[in-house]
Amino acid sequence: MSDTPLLEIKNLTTIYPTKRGNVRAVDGVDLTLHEGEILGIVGESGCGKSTVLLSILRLIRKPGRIANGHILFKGRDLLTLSGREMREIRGKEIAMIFQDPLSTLNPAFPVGEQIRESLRLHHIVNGRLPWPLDRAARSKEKEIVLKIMEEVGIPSPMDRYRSYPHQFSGGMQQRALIAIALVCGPSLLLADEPTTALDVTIQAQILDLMRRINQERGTAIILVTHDLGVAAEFCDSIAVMYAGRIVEQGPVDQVIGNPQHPYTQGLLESRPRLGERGRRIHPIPGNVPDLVDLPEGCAFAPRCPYARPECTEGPIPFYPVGENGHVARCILHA
Amino acid sequence: MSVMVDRNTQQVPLIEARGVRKHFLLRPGFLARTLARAQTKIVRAVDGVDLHIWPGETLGLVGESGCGKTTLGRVLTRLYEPTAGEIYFEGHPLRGDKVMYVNGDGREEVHFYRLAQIIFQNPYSSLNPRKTVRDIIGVPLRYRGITDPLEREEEIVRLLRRVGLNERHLDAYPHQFSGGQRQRIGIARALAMRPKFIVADEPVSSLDVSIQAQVINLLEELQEEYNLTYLFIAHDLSVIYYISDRVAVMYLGHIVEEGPTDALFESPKHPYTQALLAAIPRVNKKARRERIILRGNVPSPIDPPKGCPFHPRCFAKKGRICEEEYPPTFQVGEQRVACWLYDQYPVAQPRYTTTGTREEDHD
Amino acid sequence: MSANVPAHSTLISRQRYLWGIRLRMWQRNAVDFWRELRQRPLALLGGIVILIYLFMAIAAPYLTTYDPTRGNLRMRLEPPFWYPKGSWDYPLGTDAQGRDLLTRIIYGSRVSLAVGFLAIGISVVIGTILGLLAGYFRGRFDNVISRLADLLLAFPYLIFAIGVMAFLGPGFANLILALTFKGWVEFFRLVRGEMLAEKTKEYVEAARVAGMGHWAIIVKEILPNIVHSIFVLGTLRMGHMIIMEASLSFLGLGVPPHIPAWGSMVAAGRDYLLIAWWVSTFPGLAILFLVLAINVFGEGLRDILDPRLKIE
Repeated sequence: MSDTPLLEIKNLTTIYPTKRGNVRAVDGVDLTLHEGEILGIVGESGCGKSTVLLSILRLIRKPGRIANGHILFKGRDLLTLSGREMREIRGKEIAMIFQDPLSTLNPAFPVGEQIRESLRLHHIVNGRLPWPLDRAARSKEKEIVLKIMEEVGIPSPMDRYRSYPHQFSGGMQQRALIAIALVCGPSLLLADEPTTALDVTIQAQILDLMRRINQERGTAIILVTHDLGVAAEFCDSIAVMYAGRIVEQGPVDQVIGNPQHPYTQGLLESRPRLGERGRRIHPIPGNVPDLVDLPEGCAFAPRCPYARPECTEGPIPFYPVGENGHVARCILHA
Repeated sequence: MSVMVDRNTQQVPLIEARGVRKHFLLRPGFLARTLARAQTKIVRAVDGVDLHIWPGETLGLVGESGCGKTTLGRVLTRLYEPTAGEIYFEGHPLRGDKVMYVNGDGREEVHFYRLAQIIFQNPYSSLNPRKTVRDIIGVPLRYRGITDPLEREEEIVRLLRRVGLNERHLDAYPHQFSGGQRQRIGIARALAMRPKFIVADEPVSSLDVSIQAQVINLLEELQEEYNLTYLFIAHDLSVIYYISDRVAVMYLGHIVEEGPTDALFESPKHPYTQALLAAIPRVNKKARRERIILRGNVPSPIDPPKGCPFHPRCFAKKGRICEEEYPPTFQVGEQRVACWLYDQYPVAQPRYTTTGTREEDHD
Repeated sequence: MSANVPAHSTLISRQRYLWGIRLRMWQRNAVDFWRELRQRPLALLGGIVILIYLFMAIAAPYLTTYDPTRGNLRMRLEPPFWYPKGSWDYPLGTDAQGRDLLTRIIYGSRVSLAVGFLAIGISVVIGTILGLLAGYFRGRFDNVISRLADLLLAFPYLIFAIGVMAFLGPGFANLILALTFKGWVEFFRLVRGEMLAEKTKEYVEAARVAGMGHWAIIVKEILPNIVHSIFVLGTLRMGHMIIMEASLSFLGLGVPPHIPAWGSMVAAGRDYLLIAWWVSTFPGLAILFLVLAINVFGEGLRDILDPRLKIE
């Protein structure tokens, strides 16, 4: 791993205007990712984790917008790039896979063609003739596609090239998505809950595949998930999000083994744990707050068992806890 | 947690299924059949299930997609009629959708839905979007026999309070509630009938982690308070581990292993169970297992393989016999396993004696 | 709105209490609807125009003293009022038989609206009932009716209606028959499709497990979820029906010639287009504005009813 981070997000704020006010889906988020690192963003629905990924690729739909911040990828601020420059990044340098493969794959085209489309869009294979005529370029593309289908574990790629998405099982579809994402050799893969819709044995296969890709190709991965177990097993470092802000961050062993923010602790307490049968689960009381109406200070305070008056007075910064860059946004550690 | 029933007390299981099968026919259209000779395919969703659930206990039912657990849950509440096999309630067989029910006052034939209810997985489509909460919970009350509208209203409010909502919500529509609240409404609806048996079909799978815990705790409290018996269907093994007294593992329409929760999770016997448990991502490092990555995909119930349904993916396959014959169920310690690897163990016997299943013979 | 009515009330007041609740819900829905409608001025305008036409149709005898069927032959082809030769006696002019055009247009609205409502109404009822049954019970019934629907769909609507009318002869009832003969198919397909989709939802299973019988489920649980689609389609198709009626009347195959109908008025004025353009034009405009109003209102209706139900 080199010293310059691959991705540096500074003070990212993404807002969705609604009839009732502005929803700060992402509120001042800082993240750093090095080459080959696996970062997990963990949180419940509505905390903004998916929005972070979409913001990186600038896929926020109007009327939502990125209001503030910098996203430095290999030194360049993505938020200053033109539409054309962004299109060169998407799919080629930074790729993304989503939760539901059946709705992400185009049902009308064979899977092989969809993988090849990514190659074509980024002119990976350059021919001299215009594309429809250049036989050599096309067969080279097909070769690359077949190779990557094999790499992601799709059996008999030659036959499966012409198959349609609905002829694949859930796990296979997700592999196809991964193939589309990886075919141009990106250095960063964004994965938005890629295994949530899959059976647990298939989930294990897909996570295994992603780990292999990370090790063999050195692709950095940002994995968004609500499953702490997945994050614990798979990621190198974790950021826990609540109501648009990161509340705790650090190496995975630290955050999971020694959680310092009451929300992280609450999440870990409210999941049953295998091997500990007698342990009661303690749900976090209350509900996730309305993002339009966030209180001053810590958004978790209304539900926090340790809340103090200072918690709602003003913005709370990160405080170092534990080792190796483990931080928590909680005044208990001031 | 509910109390384990002592099997020596001659107590009859609350629910028993014997040889239950549920097959669905996929019939191609008329033209496809005559001109293209398209075949009718059979989906063997549930293909020969024996199980029993003791009063007051929670049986967890796990399996992956296509294993038939959802179908089995529906069959056990009589939403589907079994293609073959029998279902017994407290020893009495179900005839059509009615069964003989004996309580302190005597015996009568009641509709099964008075005794067995279901909680659904999807909090969005399980509540009629055009009905108010009052109507949604009021319907089962009406069929329970509470005709007086005001009495109904009082009962609805009581149920709502019990699940953590209140009377302010009576006139509201489902879309005004969060996922967790909708599940509570669904629970109130199931309780309205005062059933003895509830099938909970993945009741927390669509909820956020912190809400899951709230609903799980609620279900446990209700079980204690009303002496309910649960069939808890889920694919999330951590939740199953937490709430179940016994667990049954399903694969392609069969129960491949069954036993007390601790024993099954501690030392799973069937290769599929082992792979399943090894695949769960765990927070607790010490509880993590060596990865068993299964080859291939979850198969389709339309064309199950001959012999043991798991053999194409089995890493511990014994030999030809796995491919040819479906294994009997062996008693291995406290667990019952359908796998040829254990044929040195005795074949499992039913652990209860039924004192006659015909109404005339009973007591 | 909670259960704090005293326990010893009589049965009558208990019923009244519940009806009170229902009434308040209706009021709430009506207020919401009105508010949504006001936010869509175009649809609101459409609605107002439709009401004007309705008013015209109902109050026709009070709006004009002329006889729509008998004219003053000495006042043939009089121009509208803004011409030097025209007068306020015949504000929109007269036709070839000296009949006041405005009067005929007002009376013509009766035919068009009656045909519109009746043809749609009957189509909706037939299509809905068949669609509910076919979608819920499936099987041979569904197969037969669906194939029949496909068959009917293959004919172009107008040609089909012409054929039927030519066969049966002119007349109001025959006209309605011709229109509904094919009109129910669209509603059948819509309702059947929605029924198939709703049937798989768990709330239907929940109703079964609560003890509801099939018919109760169809009418009380599923139908309320389908009604809004039917309503929207019905409103939009009504304009279609009115145009069909006008077309048939234009071809002389609609209502008998002595009854004023916009279509036949347009046809009758064809010979005089160059010298008395108003004879064809004003009936044509009457058709145009009514159908436009219906379409615009129908679209607004779809907007109001649909997204509210899709809030999740």
